[in-house]
This record gives sequence, structure tokens and C-alpha cells, in this order.
Amino acid sequence: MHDRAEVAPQLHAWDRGLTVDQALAREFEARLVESSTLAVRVAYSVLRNREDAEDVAQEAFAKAYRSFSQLRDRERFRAWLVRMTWRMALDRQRANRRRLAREGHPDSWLPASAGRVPGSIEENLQGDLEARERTQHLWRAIDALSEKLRIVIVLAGIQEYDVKEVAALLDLPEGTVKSRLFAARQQLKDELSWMVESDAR
Amino acid sequence: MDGRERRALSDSQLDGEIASAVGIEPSPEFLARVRTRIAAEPEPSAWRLADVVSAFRRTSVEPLWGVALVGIVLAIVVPQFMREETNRREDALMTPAVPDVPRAPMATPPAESRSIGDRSGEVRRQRPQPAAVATEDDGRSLRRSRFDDLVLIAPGDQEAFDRLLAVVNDQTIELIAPVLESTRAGVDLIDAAVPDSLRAEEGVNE
Repeated sequence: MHDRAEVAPQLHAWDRGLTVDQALAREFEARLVESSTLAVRVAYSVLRNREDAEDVAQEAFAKAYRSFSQLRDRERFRAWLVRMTWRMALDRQRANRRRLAREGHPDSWLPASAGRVPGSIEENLQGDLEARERTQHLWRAIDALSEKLRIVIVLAGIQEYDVKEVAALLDLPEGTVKSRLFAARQQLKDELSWMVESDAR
Repeated sequence: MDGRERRALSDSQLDGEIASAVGIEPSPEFLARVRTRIAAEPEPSAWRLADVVSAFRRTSVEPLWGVALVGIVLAIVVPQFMREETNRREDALMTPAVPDVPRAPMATPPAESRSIGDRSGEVRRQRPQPAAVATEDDGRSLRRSRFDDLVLIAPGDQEAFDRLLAVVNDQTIELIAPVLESTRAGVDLIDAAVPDSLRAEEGVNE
């Protein structure tokens, strides 16, 4: 992930004798590089499919580009992009569900790749099958959350639980983010507790 | 469930699982795809005033631009406002306060005139005309000059002048001889200047 400090020199392109369009293009390019991972992860947290997530993130960037000159506070680009990507991903998810329902697979909206989580999580668990199962249960539990809790817990996971950053992305007070994060965790643990109970039996 | 051992989720484990679940990286070609997609977009050329202002805000001459902009606006607006104010005052001074003339109710023209119009084959409908125009008082007020309300003599001077006229008319004071003589000479001059034809008309009129 790119550091946001790298973008700062691009913001003052006006001072270097560039035309308005050139300055705009350069600034947007810097924002794109900085925020691409964030956008894809946000879309993936809704869609659970890499291809769909990248499609939605791409459309979100295209939409952001069209309206970029109208964004008054360019420092708020990431927050703007996150909200836009989130909404577009939800729209895509609804469209996918409608399509699958038409095709007679109402419960199969979760793609087969949803359980294949990258990274070292699978190594920490006992096996690939169990990891996929746990992850699928996790996603189902996340989907059961209300939207305002869901976006907080997902963004917290993306931003490595940096409450300040999540608050900035959602334009919320840090206290609100903390309380929603706590509520989301509680609900997730309740949703996933059946696994513990069955283990005890 | 299936008899396999499962671990309970602590906060840190839950956070770790969520972070792992969402922690995907975009494919290497993702940025290139987005750039291609954006290249197909029309350039956002609709720059609004807010963009211009924010562009100025980013430059180091912001206060100077601000002062210049305010100066230009004031240079345009203030003279226009002053001109309008002056015109308004002049109008208020020169326009007499003519009371509204009460309008008579609209009346349709008499049947005869309509029949004339009909006979002449005129298709156009005649517009209703006011039945009466105005009263005598209204006529007087309409005939008032727009200069009637102008104050030409101060109130104190006017009072003194009226008093002088009154005593001269009553002949309670006698004007001094040179004044009388000059007055008579002036009257003679006027008489001499009047042409005979006009004098004859005056006689007829009398």
C-alpha cells in the first residue's frame, strides 16, 4: 500500500506551471496508486470475488475521475472513494443475487472462491477445508450485521484496526467508530459461538 | 458438528480472521486496466467557480488575488449603485405627487357604435372605454406643473413678500417717487412695445 505522504507533492502541481487538466490528471494518478488496494478490498468485502471486486473498483475509479474536479476537498478523496465503492459493490451484489434467483440458485450467491482466503490464515488453521468453512461462516456472520456495523468492522479489518483512519474514512467521530466496532465484534462472536458450543459437546 | 476440534474466537483472533479475509491484493494488471478505462473517459473539463477558487487557494498569492477580486467587484458595483441612488433622488425631487385619479367603471360602448362596427364588417372587437374621465379637482391636480412643488422662495421671505404686496395693494404705504417713475416708465415701454393689432384684439376682447 502506498503512503499518503507520497501524494502530497502532486497536490501542488499548480505551482509548477502545469495546465489545469495536466494537474488534474497527475493528481488523480497519484490518488489512484494510493487508493487502488483500498478500493479493491472494500469491494471484495461485499462481493467476495476478486474479479467482481476489481470490476467494481475500476468503475468506482472511473466515476471518481469524472467527478474529480468537483471534489472540493481533495484530501477527502479516500473517504469519497470508499463510500462510492461500497455503494457500487452493494448494487452489484443485489444484481448478482437477482440474477442467481432468476437462474434458480437463490442461496448460491456466495462464490466458491469466497472461502479461499489469501495470506497465512490457512497455515494457522488445521486445514484448507476447515479454513474455508470458518471463513464462509465469518462472512455470513458479517453479512448478518447491520450496514453501519458491517462497514465499520470491514474497514477496521482493512485498515488494521486504526480507529482514527476508519473514522476519517467514514466521516464519523472516533468514539462512534469504537462503539460500533465493539458492537460488531460482540455480534460476530455471538453468531460464531455455535462452533464453540458444539466443540464443548 | 463433524467432531473436529474447533477453537473459540477471541477478539484478536476475530480481528485477525477479518483482516485476513479482506486482505487481498489487486491483481498486477489492475492499475493498467483502470488507466485504460479512465483514458476512455471524456476529460472532466467542466471547471466550476469552486475549482478556480480552490486553485487560487493552493497558490501562494491567495491574499493578493482576494483583494484584487474584491476591488474589481467594488469598482463595478459601487458606482452603479451610486448612480442609481442619485437618479432616484432626482426623480423624487422632480416628480410631483399627483394623486391617483379615480377610475370610472369600465363601460361597454353603446349599442349603436357596435352596430356601426358590425355594419362596416369590422371583425375586431372594440375595447371597453372609461365612461367618465375625471372631476374638476382632479383636472386641476392633473394640470399642476411638475415644478409646483419646488420651493423657490424661503418661507420667511415669502411671508415678507406677501405682506409687502398687501400693503402696496391697500396703498397703506407710498412708494417713493423714483420707484414710481421707473415703474411708470417701464409700463410705458411695455405699452409702446405692444403692436397695434394686438391692442385692437385686446379692445375686442374687452
